[in-house]
Amino acid sequence: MKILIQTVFLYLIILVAFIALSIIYNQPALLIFIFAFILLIPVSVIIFSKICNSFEFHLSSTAPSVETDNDVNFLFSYENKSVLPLFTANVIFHAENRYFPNNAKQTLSIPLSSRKNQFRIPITTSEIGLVTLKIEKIIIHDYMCIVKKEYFPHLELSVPVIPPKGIERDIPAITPQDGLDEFEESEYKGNVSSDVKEIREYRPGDRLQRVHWKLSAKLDDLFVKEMAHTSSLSIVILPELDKENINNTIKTLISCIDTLNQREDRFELCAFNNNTFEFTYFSINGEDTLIEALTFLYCQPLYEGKDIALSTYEASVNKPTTIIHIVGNRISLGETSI
Amino acid sequence: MIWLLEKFLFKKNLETNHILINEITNENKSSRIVLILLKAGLIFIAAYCTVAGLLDTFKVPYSRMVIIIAFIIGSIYFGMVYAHKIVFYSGYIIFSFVFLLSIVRYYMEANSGFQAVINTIYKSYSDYFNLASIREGQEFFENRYYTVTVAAIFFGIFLIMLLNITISGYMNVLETILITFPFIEIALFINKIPSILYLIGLCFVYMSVAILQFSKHSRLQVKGKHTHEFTRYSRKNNFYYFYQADTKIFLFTFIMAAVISVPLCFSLISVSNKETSKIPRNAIHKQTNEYVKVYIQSGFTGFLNGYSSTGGLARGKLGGVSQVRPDFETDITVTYAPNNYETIYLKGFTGNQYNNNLWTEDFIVNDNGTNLGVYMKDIEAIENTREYPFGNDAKMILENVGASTDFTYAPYFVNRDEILLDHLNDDNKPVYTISYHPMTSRTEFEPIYEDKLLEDEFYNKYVNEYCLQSPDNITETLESTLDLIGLEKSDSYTNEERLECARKIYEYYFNNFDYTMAPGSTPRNRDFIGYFLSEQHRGFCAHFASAEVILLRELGIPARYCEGYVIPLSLVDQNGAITEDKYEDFYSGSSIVDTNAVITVDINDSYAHAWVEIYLEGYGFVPFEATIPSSEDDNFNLAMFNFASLFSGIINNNQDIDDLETPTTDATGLLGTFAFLNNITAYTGSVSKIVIIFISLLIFAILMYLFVKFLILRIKLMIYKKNNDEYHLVKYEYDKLTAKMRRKRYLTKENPLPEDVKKAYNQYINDYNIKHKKPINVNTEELFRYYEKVMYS
Repeated sequence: MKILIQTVFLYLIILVAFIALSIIYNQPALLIFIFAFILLIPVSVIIFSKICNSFEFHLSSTAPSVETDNDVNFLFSYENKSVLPLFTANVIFHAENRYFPNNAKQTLSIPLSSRKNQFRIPITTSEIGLVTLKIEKIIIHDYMCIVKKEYFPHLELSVPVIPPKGIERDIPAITPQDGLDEFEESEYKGNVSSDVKEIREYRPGDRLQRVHWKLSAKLDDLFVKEMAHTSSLSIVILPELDKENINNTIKTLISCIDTLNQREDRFELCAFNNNTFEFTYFSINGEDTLIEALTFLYCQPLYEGKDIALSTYEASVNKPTTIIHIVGNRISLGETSI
Repeated sequence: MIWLLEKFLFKKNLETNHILINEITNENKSSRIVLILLKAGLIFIAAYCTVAGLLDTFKVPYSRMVIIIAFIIGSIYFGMVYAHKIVFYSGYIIFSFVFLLSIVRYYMEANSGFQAVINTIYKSYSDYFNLASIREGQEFFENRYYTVTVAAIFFGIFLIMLLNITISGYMNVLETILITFPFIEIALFINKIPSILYLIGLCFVYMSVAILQFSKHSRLQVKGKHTHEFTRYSRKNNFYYFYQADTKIFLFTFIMAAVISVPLCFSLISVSNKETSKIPRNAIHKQTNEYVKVYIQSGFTGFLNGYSSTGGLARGKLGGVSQVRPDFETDITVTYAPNNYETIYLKGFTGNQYNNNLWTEDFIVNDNGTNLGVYMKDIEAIENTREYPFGNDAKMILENVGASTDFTYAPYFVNRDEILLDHLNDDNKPVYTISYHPMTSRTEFEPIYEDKLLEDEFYNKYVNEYCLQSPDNITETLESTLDLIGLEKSDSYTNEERLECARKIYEYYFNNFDYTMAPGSTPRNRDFIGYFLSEQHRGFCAHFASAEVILLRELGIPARYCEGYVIPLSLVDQNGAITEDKYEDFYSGSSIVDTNAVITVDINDSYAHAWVEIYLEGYGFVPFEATIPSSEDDNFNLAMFNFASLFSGIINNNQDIDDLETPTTDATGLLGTFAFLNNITAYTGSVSKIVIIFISLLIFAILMYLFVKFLILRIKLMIYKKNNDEYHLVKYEYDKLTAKMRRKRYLTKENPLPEDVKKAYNQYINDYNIKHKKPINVNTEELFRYYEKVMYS
């Protein structure tokens, strides 16, 4: 707890004024009031010290993600576990879009008169990105504003803002590279994966070794075995986090993911960090994983360049991969090989 | 317009930070109606405790129930205007209409009730200060119970309207106190303590408002399209959001306020019930007492001086001075040999005739149908022939440093013809050498001498007729006063009896009157002496001296009014300086005081004085001190009284254009012009400083307004430049150019297009370049293309 010197000084001035008035007007009764006033201060401080630790603060949001031009609604709530209420609290928080950091400080003064309460903080952003709200500090005063207590709750929440669904992009059918088969893979890793993940219809380009002859003969159609390849990736979506085109890149990315999901293609999203030159992969098989991936993607630094991720990827990855390279509205397909 | 500004500020935030925090809301919102009712409750308590507190303290009859109901309705009504914007505007309009109609209908009753309250308060104040004044505000209806109730309702509703602004609108404790407490102070000032319930109520309201104000959770914006649950403002790059009002905080505040108010009021009341002296002795109260007394007796005009000069000699003018304000600058320097304990009177002005609150030296009498002028110089010429068979010879050197040179100041008893002008000092002021016969004690008046001067018919008539004249309009007052004193008129009072009468009048003053330097001015159309004797009963030397002269004259004792300076022995002790002159050169006798030296003493205008001269046969007019000593400490801060004098001189009711010098003209009329200017100077000289101050303030205000306007414009331009706000900068220049073209009459169209302005500017440039050597080189095409691009893009 910290003492507020300005308030103490102000009270001293008031006390001196009252004492002077009592002398001028020969009213010693005012001294009784002064005495009572002085008594109030320790009473206030003692009660405050008992109840100030009984507050709990929470931060949540109404939706895991929002589209641009919609509000990101954060919910800040508190719960007072003690019997007595307090007057107010100052909540100092910081809100920003990660792509556009700012140093604006926001101070929200809320009443603490209820046992529980919740405050909705709607934030509008005109750009895609990760809207983050961080509660830096909460300051509570006692009844007489003599002392204050500062909480550092470390509450932080981020909500990705995604562009609205656009037109579905037409992506040519991709025959995912098998990558290493069980024989080639063993040369590299000595670890053969022979698990069959699934049986599917033959597509032009599938390797003959994969044909399930028995089933095909039975059903009078060609079917292939899809193996559980442990180390090879088939389709990788690689968005270029170019500053200029980031909006369109994300739009195209989401559209591309939708298309691939509809086709039930297996793919992974690859997030590139230009600072550490690391790639992080995400399997997108639902809304949650998409949001998780986008959240991570939004946290990656933006850079200037239309093929930095691609060239880095091609240089560093030593396995056959089909790459869906996205820069702005442009989608290009590529392959890496060993 | 505030919401527009807010929108602009926060939209700017969106553009800068790409993020905007919208309307923050509270899930557990307090009910607006409940908040309104809580505020209405505060308003009701404040209004009721003020009005009922005042009325009950002075025991004015009224209908309590009606007041309570009316105030509750009024409080709720005004509180509810904050429910919604439509209600806000329509509520005030409806109220104004209803209030106006009610006032028109119940004006007489309300006025009567108001007068009843004022009369009651006035009487209490008069009783408290032992003043004899009576206020007679007319009450048209006798039934005070009814009229006071009506007046209280009107007043209370108006008070509620004001409290609604200070509580519901702004929640400002200082304004709330300023609106309500002065009415309670009216009672507290004269030690009338209102009922403790009212004090607790007011204290409770003040505490609640203070806590709500400083906690910043009290404002309730009028609900409308653009109201917010959280008020917000920004300062530099920091944004603040304050929740407006919360019911639980209100209730909690009320509990805290009650906890503080109850013991405070009880503790104050319990001590106040002790016996205290009627007029408190503390310094501030004493000074305000003087103001209050003046106001009760003479009203607001009691603070105004009829003329500006109030220190030094008043030259016989009476009644226009509400208080005396000496400047304590040296007026006279006197060198003499103190030889006794008697005060030395240096007479300058002699008042022979009293008329319309004015003593005059020279006067006109009607002598058998003929107007005869009686001049002081003629009387002095006769008096200068008197021989003084008593006392020793004394000499005095009198240097006029700052006193009026219209008078020659001289002590008693002197032959004024023998006053020698010694020389002029460095400031061209006269230095006199005066030979006189100082009176060592009153017993020197006992021997009876033959008064040869009375053998002169004119002088005899002057003494026994003119110096017995008193105004007819106050005869009744004079007679009743003399009855109270127990004196009777007689034509044959001896010298001793004359002095005895004078002493009795003095004793009457001593027992029944007060000395004060701030008695208040005499009301218009009232006689100064009559008002002093019948009602005022307080004053300074001019009051006592004038009244005693007239009373003595009424008794048949010739008397005159004098003004001049006094030298009490105490002044010699305070600031007398011993000179190297020989004592025997200044006094032929021996001194009965300790000092045996020639002293120089400075006399300032605080020693200007008025006294009485009583005619004693064989001695002539001898001085008599009529002014009683002060019973209070009059060393209050005169600067405080000077504040009221700022307004004096507005009423220059004692200034007459005839008093100013009349111009004389010569053949060229020049003298007339100069004389006219002299008149202007003389007239403006008499115009109070307040007029000059007012005009100066007006000019200053206009200059400040222009300067502030200029400053704001400069600051705006600076901000535009800093923010690279091209649009506003260009618009400013364009508007400036348009205004210039209009001024120069090149542009007359009402709403000119840029093309019109360009044409006008081209014409202006052509004309300018013809007339001036240094031409203006401006590419107007490019300039206006740029203007249009910025303003219309």
